[in-house]
Amino acid sequence: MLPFPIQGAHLLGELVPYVVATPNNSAMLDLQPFGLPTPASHVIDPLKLDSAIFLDLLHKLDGLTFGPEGMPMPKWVFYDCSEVPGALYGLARPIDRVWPKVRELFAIPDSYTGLVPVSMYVAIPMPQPGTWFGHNLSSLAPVFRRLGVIGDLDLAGLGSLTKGLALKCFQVQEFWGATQWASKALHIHAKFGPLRLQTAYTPAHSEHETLTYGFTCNDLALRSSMGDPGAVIARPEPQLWIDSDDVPAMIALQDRIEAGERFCIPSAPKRLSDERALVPIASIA
Amino acid sequence: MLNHYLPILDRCEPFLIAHDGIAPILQTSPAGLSIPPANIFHPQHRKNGPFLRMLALVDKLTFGPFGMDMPGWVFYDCAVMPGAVFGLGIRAANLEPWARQAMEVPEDYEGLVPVSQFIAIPILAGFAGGQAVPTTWLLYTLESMNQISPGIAPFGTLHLTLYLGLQVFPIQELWGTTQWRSPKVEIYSDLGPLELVTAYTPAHSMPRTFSFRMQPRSEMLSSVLAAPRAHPDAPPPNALLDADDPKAMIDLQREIEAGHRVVVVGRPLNHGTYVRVPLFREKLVQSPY
Repeated sequence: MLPFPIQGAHLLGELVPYVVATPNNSAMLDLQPFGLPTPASHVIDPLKLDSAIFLDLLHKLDGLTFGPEGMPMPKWVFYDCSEVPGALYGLARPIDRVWPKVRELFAIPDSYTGLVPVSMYVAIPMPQPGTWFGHNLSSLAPVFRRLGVIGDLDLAGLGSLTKGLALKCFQVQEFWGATQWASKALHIHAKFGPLRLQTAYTPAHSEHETLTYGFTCNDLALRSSMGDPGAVIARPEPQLWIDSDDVPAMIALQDRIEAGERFCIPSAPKRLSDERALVPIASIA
Repeated sequence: MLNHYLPILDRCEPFLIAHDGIAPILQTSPAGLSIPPANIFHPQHRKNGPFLRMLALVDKLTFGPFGMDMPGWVFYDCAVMPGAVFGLGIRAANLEPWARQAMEVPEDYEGLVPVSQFIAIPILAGFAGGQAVPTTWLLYTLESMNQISPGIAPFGTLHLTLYLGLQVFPIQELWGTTQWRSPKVEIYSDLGPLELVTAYTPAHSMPRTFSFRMQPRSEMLSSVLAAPRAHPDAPPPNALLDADDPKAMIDLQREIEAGHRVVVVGRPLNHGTYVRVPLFREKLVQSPY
C-alpha cells in the first residue's frame, strides 16, 4: 500500500511491481517507489537469455495496447530505445493467479513460471540529469474492456498508477513526452498538473498532429496523478481550446511557440467522441 | 583528420540536428571541422520538415531491407528528443538528377540533402556518480546512402561520419548493437576492442544481434579512417565465431552470463561462404554487468 490514498488502491493487492533494466541502470533506480518494494526476482535483466519470455510478453502487451492505433513498438525499439538506455516499470500478475483468458490472449507457454505483465511504462533519459522522455504507457485495462476478457477486477486507474510509480522509480525530476491531440492518454498526463507545451505540430513525428509536453515531476504531481484527493495543483484558466481535428489551429499555435510564446495545457481535455477532443490551452507568462 | 578523407568535404557539409536542451553539450567543431550555424537544425521547427523527411528516407532505404527502418515516432521520441543527429549532406544543386530522384528531393528544394547520419542517445548509467553530463552513450544509428546506392555520396562517407560523430558527443563509454553478419562489424571493430554485453539477444527483433561496449580513446579514433589490420589496443584472437551459427552464439551468451569476458578484436574474416569473427575470451570470476 502507498502512504497516501489513491484511486485503484485495490490493484496493489492484485498485482505486483516489476522493473526491466540492465544491472548498471537498475543501480540508478528507486526500487521502492513510495515504499512499495520491487522484489529482487522481479527486476528483469534484458541482457539475459532467461528474460526472453517475459520480454516477449511485454512486446505482446504493447501490441495489444497500440496495435489498433497503428503505433506498436518493433522489438528492436524495445531493446535499443528502452531496455538498454532507460528502464521499464509496470504491474504484473503472478502466473499462478493469472486469468485463463489472459493466458490464452498472451499465448503463454505451459512451462512458464514467471510474471505476466498487465501494465508498463517506458522512459529514457535525456542529457540533463533527472530529465526523462516517456514514450510508452501500456495497460490491459482498455483491452480487457474492449474484449470483455474479465469482469471480476476493476482496472480503472491502472494507467495512472503505473505511470506515477514508474516516474518515482526512475527518479524523474523533469518529464517530457509526446502524444496526439486526440489521444485519450492526454487525460492521464494532465493529472500531473499543467503540461508545458514544447510543440503543437510536429513534422519530425509520424503523426504531425502530435504535441510535445512537459512538467516538473515532484511528489505533489505524482500523488495528484494517482488520485490522492489531498494533492491539489493550481491550474490556470483556459484561454482557448484546440479541436483535435483542427490542424490549422495546431500549426498556428506551433508558429506562436516558435516565435517565443509559451503555453500549457492546464487540465484534461473534453472528449467530444472516441476519436475527437477539445484541448484547453492557457498562456504562460 | 587523414588527408585522403578531405576530398569528401569538397562535396559534403556536416550537419547537426539538436534541440536547445542538448546543443550546449555537443562539440560543433569535431576534429576542427566547423558545423555551419545554418546546418544546425532544430527538430521541433516546422521549416525543417523537408530535411527531416529526407533523413527519414535515408533510414528507410538503409535499414528497411533489414525490417528495422525507424518509424517517425521512434525517430522523434527515441532519437532526437533524448539525443541528437550528426551527419553529412550534399547541396541539392550538386546532386545529379538520378540521385535527386532517389532521394525524393522536392523540385523547389535547394538546401542540404542528408546522405549519412550518426545518432547517439544517453544511457542512464552514464549519470552514475552525479555526472552533470552523461558519459555513456548508445550508438543508436550509423548509416550512409552509399550502403545501398554507392556513388550518391563520396566513398568513405560512412567512416568519416563515424569518426566525426564520435567527437560531437561527450562519449567516454560507447554501447552499440549490431548483427553478427552486418558489414558494420568491420567498421566498429576498427574503433578498438568491443567488449560483448550480449552475444545472442532474444530481446531484439533479430536475436543474432550482439551488444557491445567500449571506451573510444580520442587519440585512437583515426584508426576508423586508417583501417589498421589490427587495432593497437586489441589482444590477438583466441577464438573465432561463425556469424551464421546461432548455437555458438547462445553458448557464447551463456559464457558471458557465467562471467567470462569476451571481446571482438578484429574485422570479420571471410572465407568462401563462411564469415568468422575473431574473439578474445577470458574467464572472469564475476560478470561486470
